[in-house]
Amino acid sequence: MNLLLAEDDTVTRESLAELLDAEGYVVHAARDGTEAIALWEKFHPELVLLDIMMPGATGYEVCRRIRQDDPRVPLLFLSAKSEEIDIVLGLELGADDFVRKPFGKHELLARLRAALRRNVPERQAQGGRFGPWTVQSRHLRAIHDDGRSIDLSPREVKILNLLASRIGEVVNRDELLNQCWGLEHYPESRTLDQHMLNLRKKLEADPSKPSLIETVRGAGYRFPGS
Amino acid sequence: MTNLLLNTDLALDDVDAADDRMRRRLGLIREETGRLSRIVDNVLAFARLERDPAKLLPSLCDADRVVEEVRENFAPLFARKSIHCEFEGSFGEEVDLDRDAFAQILSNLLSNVEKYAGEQARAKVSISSNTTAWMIEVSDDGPGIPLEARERIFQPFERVVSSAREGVSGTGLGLAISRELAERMGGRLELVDSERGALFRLQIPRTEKRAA
Repeated sequence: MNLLLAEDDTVTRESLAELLDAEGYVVHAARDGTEAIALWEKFHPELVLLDIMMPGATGYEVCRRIRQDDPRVPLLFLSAKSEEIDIVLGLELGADDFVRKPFGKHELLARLRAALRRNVPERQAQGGRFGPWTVQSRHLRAIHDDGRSIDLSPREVKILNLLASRIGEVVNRDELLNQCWGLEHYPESRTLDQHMLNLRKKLEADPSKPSLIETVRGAGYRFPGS
Repeated sequence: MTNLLLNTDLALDDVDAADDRMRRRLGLIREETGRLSRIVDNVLAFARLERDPAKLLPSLCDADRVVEEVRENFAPLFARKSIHCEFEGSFGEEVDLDRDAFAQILSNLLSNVEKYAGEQARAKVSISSNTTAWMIEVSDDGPGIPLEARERIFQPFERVVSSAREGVSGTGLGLAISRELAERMGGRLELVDSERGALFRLQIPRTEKRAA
């Protein structure tokens, strides 16, 4: 999932980019408003995070420009509590939410998911089946047949979609790493195992006896189908 | 402060799951950064309220989500002190209020529970309404507030210190700011009688929803 991040504070921008990248977002990071508009025009990302007070063009101006092209893309402002910002103006310009600094990882990710679920119509979010779960890729969640719902990261969605596209086949570790992380961000091997562990905790009835994500020793992982 | 929080979260992601000592230390840094952030918020709010008589900035917001976010922020603090905090009721609709002010009041009330109710306390946040107002009550079964201090606690820089509360950090601004914010929202914040512990009641007027 492509995401535009515009933030002029270097440490905040780099920290956010690292955090969002680890979750599986493809981050296009801009250091000012002018660069943000250029990146928007080039990539048309599916999610937008804008600081308000930036050199070049303010977050409000970037928002106005983006809304001319796309009235629905989820767009959130990042703003400091000490700033005299105008929430009403931001909402009138079409922002979906304000994330107030200081914020942590979990608050930010929850706000992103909430904005996606509000803005992406249900029919566009419908995804594939994974055992008793329906994976809604663009809403970043899976819904169980019994009605339970769990949050997923973009990376977890990629892993589930890859396994589900190859029912009954072993998907080897290199392929999972290549397709779900990519060569630019090739992680340590244990990162893959950690993700599988987390997915089992979320999806399996008994994570110690997985029936949806099977380990095939020395080879990779397999979704045996329902 | 954002950079501290984000980088502590990144470090928590990176640290080996089996390294309990490091996880605990990073967790403490995370909690204390949150506490520092609340203190900064209160000092900034105090300075702003003194300087600027302007009204708050209400807008339609998902108040249940605000409650959930505050609840998540306090979960590790409560867990460390084995405080059981129950949440009851909900807004169930978008509410016209200043989101930051509401979050700040609720955070200050829960911070008081964390600081003063004591280990293994039981606390409750309940949300209800009538035709004219929302009512948010935060109660606990801790030692409570002495009778003679019931109004004083809403004065800036006042702290009701007893031997049971030594070692508790704070500025004494939280309740004063919370009451002021509540009044600027057209509501009120008060300490009300309860059989045990402390019971704070925040009332916020219900307003006609604005046209979308």
